[in-house]
Amino acid sequence: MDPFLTIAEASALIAARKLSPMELTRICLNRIAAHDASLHSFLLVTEARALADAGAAEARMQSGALKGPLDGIPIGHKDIYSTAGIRTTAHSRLLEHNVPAGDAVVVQHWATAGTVLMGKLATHEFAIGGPSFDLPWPPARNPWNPDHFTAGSSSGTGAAVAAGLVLGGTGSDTGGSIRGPAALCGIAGIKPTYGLCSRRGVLPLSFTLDHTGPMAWTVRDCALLLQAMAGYDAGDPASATRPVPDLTADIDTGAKGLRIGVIRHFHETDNPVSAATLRGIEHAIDVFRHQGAEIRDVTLSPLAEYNAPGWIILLTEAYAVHEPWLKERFNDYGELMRDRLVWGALVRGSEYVQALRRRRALCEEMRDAMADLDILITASAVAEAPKIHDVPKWAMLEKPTFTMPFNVTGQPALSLCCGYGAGGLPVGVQIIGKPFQEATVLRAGHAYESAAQWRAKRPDLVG
Amino acid sequence: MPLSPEAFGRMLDQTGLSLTDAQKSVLFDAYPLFQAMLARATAPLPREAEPATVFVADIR
Repeated sequence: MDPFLTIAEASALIAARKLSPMELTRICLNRIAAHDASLHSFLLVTEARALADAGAAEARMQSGALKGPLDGIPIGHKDIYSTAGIRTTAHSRLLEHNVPAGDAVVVQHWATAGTVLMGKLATHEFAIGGPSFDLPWPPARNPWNPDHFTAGSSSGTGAAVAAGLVLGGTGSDTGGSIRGPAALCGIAGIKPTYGLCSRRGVLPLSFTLDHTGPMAWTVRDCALLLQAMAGYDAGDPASATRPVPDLTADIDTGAKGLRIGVIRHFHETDNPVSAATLRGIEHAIDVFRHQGAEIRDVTLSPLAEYNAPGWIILLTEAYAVHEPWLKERFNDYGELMRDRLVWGALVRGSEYVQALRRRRALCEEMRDAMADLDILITASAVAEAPKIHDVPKWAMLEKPTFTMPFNVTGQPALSLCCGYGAGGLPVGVQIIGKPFQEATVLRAGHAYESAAQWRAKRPDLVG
Repeated sequence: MPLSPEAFGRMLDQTGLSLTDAQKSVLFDAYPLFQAMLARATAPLPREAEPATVFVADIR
């Protein structure tokens, strides 16, 4: 058996009774035991729960009562997702002993689908403070080279999926926290449209920018995970009431006929990317063109114009969440988290509203730019992962990210691997769709991924 | 006129947070970056420009 199965492959084998969920779970547990001491992707391995979940899935397989494509699939949850009776820390000293009474809604959804819970995954503290070395647990390391950064904040999920310790996992994305680790760890991750997936039971960072979403080795696996994650939740005030379409129905139809806009100025002049990243983006464009897509350049406001209101809104809302603790337990936070959040205390009410007004203008600009387009393309990250000790404290203030614009607008955005840099670490391309058009984004991503063959390679550490 | 470290420290004190002088100094060094971002986010807009918020009178 291929030791690095995708969810789709494992699911097919389980359905055919050629793979036991218990066997698959033990492979992942053995891989965790072998490699996670150097990767630090897990904050907690829930071995007993995993074996119980796998046993239940195995019984369903034996009796012909499998629940669907996620039944028996080992997954992990970012440690800001509440899990009933299982410690949920946000990677922070402040919640070091926090044991929630209930599951987050999307945790329930995946459990109902039959997934096997392997444990809780590392994050940047409260999804913003990292990589930090002054917390109760170390930061996750990149499996392509453990001296290097995973990006964040869904750092543990990125590392664990790339290393094959789990087949998929949850991330959250407020300014790029799914797509950044997906890019630097060489996997796929989608931030769905704001409102598609419930946020209830997930520790908040910024109410109007937070998104929940899946991360996995392939785009198809992300589609399978997202299908089980999405849906209206009356308990989440931002939840969309629209029905969720079949996200894999058209995933194999290729890029023919898609109208694609390339936001070239984002990654060529506003924040120039590395040669390897640019090569990967151009390769994706070539593949789409070859498949029959229509390609043209698109000009939007500069990247920094999207980042500025995004970060001001994020910092202000995050400060509102954390202000009581910051006033009482400032030094219990890690240095990066507390220092970054202080800026939120310095934003006046009128400035927050101005940022929201700017946000609306940018949403309108994006809507108009996509009127005759199906998807947009730009970079996910500027280059391959830097060394973990070289990550600047004020990176968010110094250079605009490629991911924040689509938190500001709320539209779906996927990061997937588009090659490898000079140091052998992965680089990523970002595909963006219109609101609630995840199926089109996933179709395009799968079309490129299938043609590119980057998925044949795993990190040497685990290969 | 640039803000002095002392004025910046007083501004931080007004937030109610308890920061050491060393912590204030670290933040002071990065304050120009934050100011630039804030200025960009709050550039003037037409008077009628609405914020990106939706108020739902009938709370579900």
